[in-house]
Amino acid sequence: MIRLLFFLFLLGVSFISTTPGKTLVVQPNGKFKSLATALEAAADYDTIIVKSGKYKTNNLIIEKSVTIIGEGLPVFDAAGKGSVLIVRSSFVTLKGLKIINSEYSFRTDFAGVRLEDVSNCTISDNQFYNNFFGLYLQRTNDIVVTGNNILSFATAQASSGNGIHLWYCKNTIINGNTIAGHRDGIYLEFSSKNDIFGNVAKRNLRYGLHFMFADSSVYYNNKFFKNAAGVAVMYSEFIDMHNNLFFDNKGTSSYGLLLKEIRRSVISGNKFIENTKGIFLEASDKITLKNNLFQKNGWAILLMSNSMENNFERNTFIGNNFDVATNSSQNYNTFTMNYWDNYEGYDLNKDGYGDVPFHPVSLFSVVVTEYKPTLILMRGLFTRLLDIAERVFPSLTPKQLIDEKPAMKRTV
Amino acid sequence: MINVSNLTKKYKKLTALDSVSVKITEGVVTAIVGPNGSGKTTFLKSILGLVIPENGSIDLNGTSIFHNNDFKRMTGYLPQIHGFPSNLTVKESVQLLKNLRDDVSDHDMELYRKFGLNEHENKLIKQLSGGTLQKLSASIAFMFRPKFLILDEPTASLDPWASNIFKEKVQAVNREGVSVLLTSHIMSEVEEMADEIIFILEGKIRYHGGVEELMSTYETPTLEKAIAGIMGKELKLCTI
Amino acid sequence: MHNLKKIINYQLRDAFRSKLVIFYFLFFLVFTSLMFRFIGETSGVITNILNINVSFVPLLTLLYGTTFFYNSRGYILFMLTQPVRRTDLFLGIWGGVAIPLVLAQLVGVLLPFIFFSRLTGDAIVPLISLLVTGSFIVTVFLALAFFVAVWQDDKAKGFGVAITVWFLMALLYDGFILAISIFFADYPLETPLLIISTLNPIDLARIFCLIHMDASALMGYTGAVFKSYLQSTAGSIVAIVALLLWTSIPLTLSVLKFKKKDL
Repeated sequence: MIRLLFFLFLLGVSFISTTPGKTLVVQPNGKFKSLATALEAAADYDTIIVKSGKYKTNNLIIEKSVTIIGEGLPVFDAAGKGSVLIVRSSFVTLKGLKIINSEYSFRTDFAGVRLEDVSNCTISDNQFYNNFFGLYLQRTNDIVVTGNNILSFATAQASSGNGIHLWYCKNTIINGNTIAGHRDGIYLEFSSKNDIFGNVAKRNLRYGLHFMFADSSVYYNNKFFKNAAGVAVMYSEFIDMHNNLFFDNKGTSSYGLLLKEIRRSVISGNKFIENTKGIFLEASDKITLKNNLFQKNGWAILLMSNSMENNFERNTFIGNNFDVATNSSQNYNTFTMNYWDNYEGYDLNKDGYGDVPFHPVSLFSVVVTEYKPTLILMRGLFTRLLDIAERVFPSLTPKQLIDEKPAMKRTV
Repeated sequence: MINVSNLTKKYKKLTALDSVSVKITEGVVTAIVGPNGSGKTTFLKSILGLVIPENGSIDLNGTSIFHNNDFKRMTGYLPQIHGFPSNLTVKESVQLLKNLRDDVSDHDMELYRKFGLNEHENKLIKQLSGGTLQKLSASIAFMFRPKFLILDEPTASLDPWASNIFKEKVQAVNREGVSVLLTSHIMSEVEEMADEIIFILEGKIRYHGGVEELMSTYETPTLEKAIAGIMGKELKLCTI
Repeated sequence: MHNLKKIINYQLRDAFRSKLVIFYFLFFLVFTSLMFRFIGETSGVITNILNINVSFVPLLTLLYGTTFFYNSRGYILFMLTQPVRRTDLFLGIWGGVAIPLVLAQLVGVLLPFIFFSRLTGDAIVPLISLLVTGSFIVTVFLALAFFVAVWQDDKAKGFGVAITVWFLMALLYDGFILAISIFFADYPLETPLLIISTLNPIDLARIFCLIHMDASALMGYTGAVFKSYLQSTAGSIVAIVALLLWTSIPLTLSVLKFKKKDL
């Protein structure tokens, strides 16, 4: 909420600060036939209106604090050479532009729009189309990225860029954007205190959202679907993940949410639906997962042996092929008050919790984790009998990995 | 005329029929007799095409009867155990057999009526008693006006009244020229019904000829004793 | 051919009055309805019926098929004295058992689906694959049952063989696949396992269903080959043809034996 207010405040600041300046108009038959000529004539805090039209633009550097507003969606086309716009001044606003065809390269990160060492800029309501990187933020503070539509057509991970790329950025607000067809939808590296909400990332080659060394960030109300993996959070602390939807992320190494070396974070109120793996936790500690819904995933939770002191509480597990799988026979995590549709116990004292503990790890899930091809035995009579035998005499599954208080009714 | 020649049938090591040759006389009632395990069931089943012999042939006027539907069409068969699906009604069972023959000609329903089967028409086979089922089987054997009648222990589960009606029917069709082949354990019945006898023992035919001749040969008043006579001669040991 | 139809026709009348066929129909009707009542979700219901299809159905059809054949001795004997070809009689009896069981299962499962679920687009494909493979499980194991009964005259031995067949195909075969997967873990196994699974009708039916339903999320994990193969039209055709062969080969061998059989 505080961050939202801050965002509104920023909008207000940029509005107030632009009113004193003059307004320049760029149009194909007008006084300024290109943005470059208008920029030369403009002073700080001026507004440049760009009328509908097609403007060939390569590596155009914006070094003044101007507000650039497109009317009728003017097109800035790099035609496959370099970036389109490069912002090197703070207090720049880009709004209502269509930015297309930045160069694909293996050496330089060309982008639709690059922001370099600036602060207090707003990038809103633009269309990014067929760019290598969509929006590239480098060493920025207090940037707002909102309502953009970022679409590209990446085919291979190595030769593709991210939709929104953050490198050493602080206090970025990324809200209401749709990103599709890039490598990562949104990528954050060495970037902290960012707010990411209400975005949609779909059909990206790698992750919908990707954190690397990005502490103290929040993301909520986002939707991640049909990406190779929904969200990857790596090497970070204090990440809050709330009310996101992770849907239909399928593939050999696909996850709804991949956690790698994450500590002290909270994952709550999310929905993980029809992913190959709902959540994959590796070397991650002290995470609280509560009130999440896991539905129809291959694995709801894959808990690797080097993850400890995580707390799974009041989550709901429905229709997953495997609820929990692990490669360890020990367990240092807690499960409590979750609802498991595979629970066959009873509640004689009517307190809403089953009277016998639930073992969410089946023998077959352990076997499959170790020997992938055995997956074709799923739902066979043989594997079912094995599971029943294992439940009676546990030998390979971790004895301590139990929910002592399984809920009788859905928690979510 | 049914002509059996060199018929041999073995079940694993056991020889049930050992190179049997016989001509079954047309238009007469022939009884096949012999002790249990003598080969008479195999002989009957061979003629019905139910067992497939190792060797030899069975011809009807020069045509093999194996897998020969024309022969089956001419044959009426009364089995020892009924062969109707248990959840069909009497009417449906009869209908099935009629359908299989595409038979629209007039059927001989005399026994069917005399046995009162009309009253049971809508009952399921499984609801019928053993006697009623035997009556049904018996009336079906005559129903399609066969030229050959093969009766396996025909009166075994018929009551005396039905048995009498049945025997009269056999004699009636025989008078009209139908050849009858029957098996029975009851020698008095054989004596009463049969004109000729085929006596089988250990897979071989030991006697084929008239009933009267057999009795006069052995100078006995009953067929039973005459049969015992053959067996005594052949075996020294007799069990019927 | 003409007589085959007539025999099937009367066998069907017999079968629809049979307690077992009615029980079989009611079982699926009640089971499916209860699943809707307690699970509610269509995919969960389908999964549970699949469990029945790969365990209970093969066993029941094997035992029912052999029993039926043994109990039909009198009928077979008598019918063969009638103007009927042996092939027609055999196939007629088989069809007379298979058709009612398939129909009982289809209708028993389908009715609750019509009443309790909305049958939305994404439920149709799993349901159809469930119904098709379920029907094939019945025909395949009835064919095997008749095969056993034709070759083995002794009723008790026949049951023994039938139960062994079930045990091998429903249970041991999967153990064998598990052993292979573990012993040869270092080799690429997808294609060999796919072939091995195709050789067992239960596994084939099960995998075919899995790929068209809930496990499709999982199959992304390893099943690239399975998925691209069995989800493609060509793969579906191969699977259906394999199940058809599983029905027709035992049936053909049984007919050949039956033609030369002493009754």
